[in-house]
Amino acid sequence: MINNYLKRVISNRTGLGLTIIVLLFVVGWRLLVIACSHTPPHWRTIAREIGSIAQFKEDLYPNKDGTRVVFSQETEKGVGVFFCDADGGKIKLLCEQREGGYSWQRFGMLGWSPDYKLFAYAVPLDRWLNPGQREEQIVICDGLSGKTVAKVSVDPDLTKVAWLSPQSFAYITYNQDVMVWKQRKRSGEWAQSRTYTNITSGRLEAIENPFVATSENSVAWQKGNEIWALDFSTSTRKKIRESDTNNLERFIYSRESEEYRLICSDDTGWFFIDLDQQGSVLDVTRADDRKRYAYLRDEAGVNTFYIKVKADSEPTRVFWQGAVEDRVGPVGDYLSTDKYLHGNYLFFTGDLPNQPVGLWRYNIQDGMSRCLASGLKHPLVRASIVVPRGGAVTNALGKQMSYHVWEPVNVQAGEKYPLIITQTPYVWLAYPHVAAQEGYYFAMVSRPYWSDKTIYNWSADVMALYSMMAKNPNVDTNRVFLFGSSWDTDFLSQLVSEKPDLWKGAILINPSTLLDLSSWHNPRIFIVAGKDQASEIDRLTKYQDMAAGLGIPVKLFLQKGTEHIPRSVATERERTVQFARFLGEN
Amino acid sequence: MQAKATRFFTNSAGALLLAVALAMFIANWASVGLTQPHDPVFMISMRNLFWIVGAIALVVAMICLFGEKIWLKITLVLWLAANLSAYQIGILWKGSHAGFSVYLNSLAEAFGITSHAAYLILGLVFLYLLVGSSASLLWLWMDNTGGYLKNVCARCGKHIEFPAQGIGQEIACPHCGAMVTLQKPAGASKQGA
Repeated sequence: MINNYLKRVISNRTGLGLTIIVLLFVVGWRLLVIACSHTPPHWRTIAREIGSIAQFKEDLYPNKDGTRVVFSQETEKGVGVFFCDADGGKIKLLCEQREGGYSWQRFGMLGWSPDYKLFAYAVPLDRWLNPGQREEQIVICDGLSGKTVAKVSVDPDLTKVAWLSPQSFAYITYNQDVMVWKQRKRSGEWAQSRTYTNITSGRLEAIENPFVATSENSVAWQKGNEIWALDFSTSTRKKIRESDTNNLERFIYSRESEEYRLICSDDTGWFFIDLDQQGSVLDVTRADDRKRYAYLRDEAGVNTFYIKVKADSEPTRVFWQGAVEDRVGPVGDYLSTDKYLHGNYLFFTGDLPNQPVGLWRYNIQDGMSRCLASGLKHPLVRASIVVPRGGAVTNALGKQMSYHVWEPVNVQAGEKYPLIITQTPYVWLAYPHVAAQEGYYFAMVSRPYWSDKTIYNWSADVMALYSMMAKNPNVDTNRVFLFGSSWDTDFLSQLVSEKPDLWKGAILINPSTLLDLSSWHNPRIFIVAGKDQASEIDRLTKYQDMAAGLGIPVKLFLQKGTEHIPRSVATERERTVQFARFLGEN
Repeated sequence: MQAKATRFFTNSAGALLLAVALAMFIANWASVGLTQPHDPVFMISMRNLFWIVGAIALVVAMICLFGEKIWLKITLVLWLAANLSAYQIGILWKGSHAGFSVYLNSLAEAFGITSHAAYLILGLVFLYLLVGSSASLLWLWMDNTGGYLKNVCARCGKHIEFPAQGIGQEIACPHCGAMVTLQKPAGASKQGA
């Protein structure tokens, strides 16, 4: 029967001829559209190459003399914890957590023991305790070789760990329970020795808040503007300090000098308060009066490290012509990198012109920077790293801010190029590099830290940058796109409502706020979000349907296997490709 | 005359439906990974709607281009065109007519045209199919005798008897296997019935 049918098909020359003609016509049309598109011929390869640059996550933990560093970085399918011999340059993958199903907080590094002979990190296992709750494990490693020496199953709600001694540690859970673990002398096994439940009311307010060991038998933690301590030997807890005249940003504790150092701010700026163990004030110093420090200041678009390692010396200024990752927030009007100052070295992650993001060690003595780990895992064949131009711009409120602009590669005089504009922290992002290689300007004004009230000037800041960019004769002011991610989309939404006619469209990455489309004429909108957040699927598809009802196309990319924050190279790459595709179509 | 016109219509309908089916498949392929809006009538993803409509159009196109039964071809085209007309009425009823072209955005972008142009082209294609199939069917029905006609095979000279609605079809001679296009004999007399 099939043979008969095939015979009939083959013998029907008219039908066969028409089929071939239609096939050639439709496929040819499609190929013609691809060939005539404005995107560069290798746009997909460029986006894949740039999107495949592995970003650094969480934090980095150098040892005391700066010869070893533990850090986490994206892998192809997740995030890995790496151990690096900073002198020898060898990097060892200790463990890898696949993206998908893991909440981002549940994976972290817990730091070095007081003698720097051990370090620990926490990982969720593939064993489920309850629905939605995985078994958690602390892995303890040798500080010299990185070899695993012990694995300890712990409370799945673990949030912070503090080493009490090389043979004991304590951790705090979301529910404010503190567990103490000790290593048995005879067997060497680790066992839970004590539990303190509900050491304070409520849940932990911020995962960034410190939880530190103040001795072998006590820990301290921050709750809002208060510092509390718990003494295991007496089982008593005590409020060390409550700041009511200033903001307590965070605190550190020196076990050598047995002093608390509170990092505070008030209307006059930033300062430090040193306390003894009982909470009595020993000293109050301004940021620059410290004996040893390192901080980063963005000076008109150029990052500058101020590093001081001797009490009676002036700080050394180190210009860094690239981005530096912001991990700890500002101290003063700049970012503190104190915790990354170890021995004669300063550690940070960032990028240099013409180089992708990497983990760097700056030698304070000889002034040399060395890349310990690069984000580039495969050589760039078609893509290139685009060097941004930095500068300063003053907004309508009179505040000066730094900005960076990635210009389209091969700008032709008299030609007009579209512009993408945003306010976001100046850190490594794949998007500007891809945009520049697709013939777009990508302009960003540096965003203040969350606690800085000027973050609410988002619209004024972006408008100041827009006004500056609009004077560039190569910028096509009819094709200006707003770019925002997460909470920034709240500000972006305000800007769209205020000046809908200025913008051709918007690119929203994991938007917390969706844009009002009622007064916006035919915008182009691209949204990326993680599909693993069930609520996002419903919210965003309804928004897309609503927009379609208004005749507005919304390009929606719901990415499988990821949540709000992407946590693998594969996820970043896929996003970058979809972003590049959107740019090519507009 | 009738045979030629009918054959032209079924062939052109087959070619157009094949083009529509291919275009929908290519549009889905070109927008892979992106979430498409839900269509306003069935509330299913436009991607799924394209797969469904594309698959149906492909089947009808193949029947139109390679099938034998002229009645079946025209009836299927009319059925498909009528369904899509009903879908249009559904869109009007839902009040989404003004902005429906946006639902064809993936199709439009894949072929470098505006979504309005895509909407217009699809509208014209299905109008042609609706009018053409209705007219062809009416013509066949009015001309349908219900009886049988006879042709002579040019190769073996033997008679081939066939139903009147088979005019225009190309078949293999049941005696020698040569391909014969069935035609209305000059001064044909109705038989049977």
